[in-house]
This record gives sequence, C-alpha cells and structure tokens, in this order.
Amino acid sequence: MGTDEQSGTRDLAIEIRGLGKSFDDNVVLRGLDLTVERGSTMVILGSSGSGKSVLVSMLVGLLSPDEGEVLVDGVDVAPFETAEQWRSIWLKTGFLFQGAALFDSMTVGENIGFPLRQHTDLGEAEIAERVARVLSWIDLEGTEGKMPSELSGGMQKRVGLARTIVLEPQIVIYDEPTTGLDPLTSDTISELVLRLQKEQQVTSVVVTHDVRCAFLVANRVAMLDAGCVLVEGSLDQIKESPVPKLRAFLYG
Amino acid sequence: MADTPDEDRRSLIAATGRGVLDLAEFTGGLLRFIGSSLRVSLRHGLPVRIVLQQVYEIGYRSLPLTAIAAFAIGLVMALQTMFLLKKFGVMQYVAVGVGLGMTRELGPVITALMVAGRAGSGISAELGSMRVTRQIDALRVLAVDPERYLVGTRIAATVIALPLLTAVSDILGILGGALVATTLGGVTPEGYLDTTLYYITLSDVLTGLAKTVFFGLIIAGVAAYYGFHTEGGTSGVGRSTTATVVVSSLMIFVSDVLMTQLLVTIGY
Repeated sequence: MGTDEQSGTRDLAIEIRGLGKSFDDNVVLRGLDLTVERGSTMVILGSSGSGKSVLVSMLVGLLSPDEGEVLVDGVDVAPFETAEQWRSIWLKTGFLFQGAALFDSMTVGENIGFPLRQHTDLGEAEIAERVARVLSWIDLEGTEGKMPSELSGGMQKRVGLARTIVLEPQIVIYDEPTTGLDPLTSDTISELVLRLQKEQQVTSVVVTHDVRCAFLVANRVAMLDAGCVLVEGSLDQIKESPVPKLRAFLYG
Repeated sequence: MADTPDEDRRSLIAATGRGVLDLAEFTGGLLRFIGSSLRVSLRHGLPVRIVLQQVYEIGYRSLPLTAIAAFAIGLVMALQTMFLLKKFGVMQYVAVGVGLGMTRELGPVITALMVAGRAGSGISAELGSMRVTRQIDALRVLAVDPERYLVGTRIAATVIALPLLTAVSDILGILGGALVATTLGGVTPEGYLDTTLYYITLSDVLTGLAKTVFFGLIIAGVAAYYGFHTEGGTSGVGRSTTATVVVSSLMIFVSDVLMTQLLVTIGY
C-alpha cells in the first residue's frame, strides 16, 4: 500500500530510511522507513510502547538515532550533534508536546510571544498584535494575562499549539495532541490541526493512538508495530485494510 | 555461612573503588556541564533582563535570611570571645575577633550555606520541574539553548548576588558583635568602630568576597546540574533538591578549606 509511489517523484518534507533506536537491550525502532509529502498530514498510529514518540523525538533532535537517515527538508539530521546544526531545522519545525509543556512561570501571552522575542526583531506592540491574532485563531481571545495553571487541559493544548505556530513553521509535529482530553475538546484540537494544514499548507506529523483524531486529520496513516511500519497508506486504504492487527486497533 | 576475613576485605575494597569511580564520574559530569554552560553563555551572551530577574530572586529574596543569620553569628561570636578576653583584660579586642572572623570566614561561608539552602534548592526544584514537564525540551525545540537561558543566567546571577549578600552579612555580623560588646562588655561604640577599622583591612574583606565568587559558581552549578538531570517525576524533583543542598554544602566546606590554604600560602 502506498509503496508504488517513488520518493524521487514526490515533494517530500520528511524522509526516514532504515531508522533504528535501542535503549540498552530494548530495541524500540528497527529499520523503519517512512516518508511525508509536503503539505500533507501523516498520522502515525500505534499502541503504547510502539516507538511513535521516540520516532518524532528524533525528527527534532530530542533523541539521536543509532542508525539510519532522517531527512527533514532534504537535510539529513541523523548525524547532527550540536544546537547550532539543529537551529535552522528548529526554526522551521514546530513541536506540540503531549502535555503542552507551557512555561509555567510565564503568562499565556508571554508563552506565545516567547519565540517572537527570541528570534525576531519585532517590537512589543507588534508582538502583542501577533499574540492576539494567534489567540483569536485558537478561539482564546483575551487570555494573554492568564497563567497556564488557570487553564484547562484543552486550553493548555491550544495555547501550546499557538506557541508552536507563532513563528509560522513549515512542519508541525504533534505528539499525542488529544490524549487525556474529552471527545469534544479532542475534536476541537483535531479541527485546529486540520485548519492549520488547509489554511497554511503546513506539513503535519501527528502521533496518536486516538483513532477518531486520526480519521479527522489524516491524509495518510502509518501504523507502527514492533519498531517497524506495519502498514502505510491513504486514509481510505487504511480504513479498508485487511491487516488483522490494524483492524483490531481501529475497530476493536 | 559467614564471610571470611578475605572476602570482607575484598568487598570493602570493591565498595571503596565503586565510591571513588562514582565520585569521579559525578565530578567529571558536573565540570563538563558547568563548562559547557559557561562556554555557550560567553559565546552568545546572556539575556540581561533574565539575569537581573534572577539576581532579584536569588539575591534580594535571600537577604532577610542571610542578614538574620549573619547578625546572630556576630552576636554569638562576641559573646564567646568576650568570655576569654575578659580574663586577660583586653575586652576591646572583641572587635578584632568578630571582624576578622566575619570578613574572612564566617560571613562568606554562612551566607553561601544560606543561599545554597534557599536559592540552590529553588533553582534545582524549578529546573527539575521544567525537566519532568518537558519545558526544557520545549526550549530546545524553540531553538533556545537551555544551558544558556536557564543555567548561564542562574550562574551569573548567583555569582553577582553572593558577594553583595556577603558584604551585607559582614557589616551585620560586625554590628551584632558591636551590640553585645557595647551593652554587655563595656566597650564604647567609638572604641569598637576604631578597633575594627584599625585591624580589619580591605584585603581581609576582599579575600572573603573573592571566595564567594567560587561559592556562587558551586551553588548554581550544582543546583542546575541536579535540576537538569532530574528523573522520575515529582519524587525525582524532591531527590534533586535534597542532593543539591547536601552536595553544594559539602563542596562549599571543601573548597573553603582549599581556598583558605591557598590564600594563606600566597600571603593573604
């Protein structure tokens, strides 16, 4: 499924070849191959411990692969060791953490304005205007002065997303964006992921075990099992797939 | 079956060896961590606003604690030395004992220990919480170097704040001594002040303050190291905080002995 297309003829934002990672004797990823087309949303499904989070951590330098190649925007980041090497990748890639990872000593406005203060020469008025615009986009107008601890889990996720996209990255990686949220709030997050891809043509990688979220946002889906891609294809192909493990995961 | 004396000896040697290796590994890791944080901070500069904010947090907010401790130490030193000096009829020299003791030794060490307990544990807990809630990872993927933004700023702030706090401690310790000497020892305030200014030199004050630069580096470096390497959720934060206070206090004592020996050797 999906293997008929050759990577050479497609515009790829991410290309992973033969990726391997172990922690002591525990082999988490073994020779994993995966590609993500520019402007599309790839959902990576898998049960707990299947290596999904380890995989996306390696896309942004939070973990280093033991073997294989990880091409982000055509650049192999696997051998990168220093922050200087990663800097250009970080500036065009956003990462939404599972728990949002908001800076709890900063207000919502300071959290969202943080990347702008660090990486742009914008004045305070322009930063405030950009923060207000992003807050309006996530439907949280007027919350600039609140502390993260005053927000619900779903609101924290949305603020985390706002901070992730305020620098307008080309690629956004979501690590379990809907975990721990009620179905309605999960749908709100999924809709934001979808809107971001449609309105700004962002390339998205969504790691999740939430099938409802996957069906809402995916163009393509890959299911990980035992450190490899068990099956990969378009959303329709995945829904119709006869692979027993995948069907059990999707439909119980 | 009980172990033979040979087996006891071997296990004791093995345990000692493991302890030495662990200590070497810890020291190497700590020095690499501090060195790398200082290198990246010097190369890219530090955000001044954050450093000043930390000087306020680490310095100004520790002031009541260090001030009370120093004043109390000054009182106690005067009470203890007066008892001996009275026997020899040289009560006016109480100012010398208190002044030298505070400026050269107790002012720096007591202030550093108080800051290690209050601000060092705070740094460790804050960075440890940031580690377990992935805020440090968030900084990294936002292309902000946490070693510079979190560690460099706190080391700089502690190195700035500690000498200032110590200078205040020196003055308050001497005032504590003066209070006891004038109320209980029959020394006049003018006499106490004159003796202090005559016998306590600028060199005494500066050698004490110079030590606190190293103490500041130790406190913030150890606290940030443990905070950065916190594992195991909230209980891990507790363990890091405790380890910070224990290790930095021990390192303050050990480095104080070494620095005092060095200063005495070179004539200060």
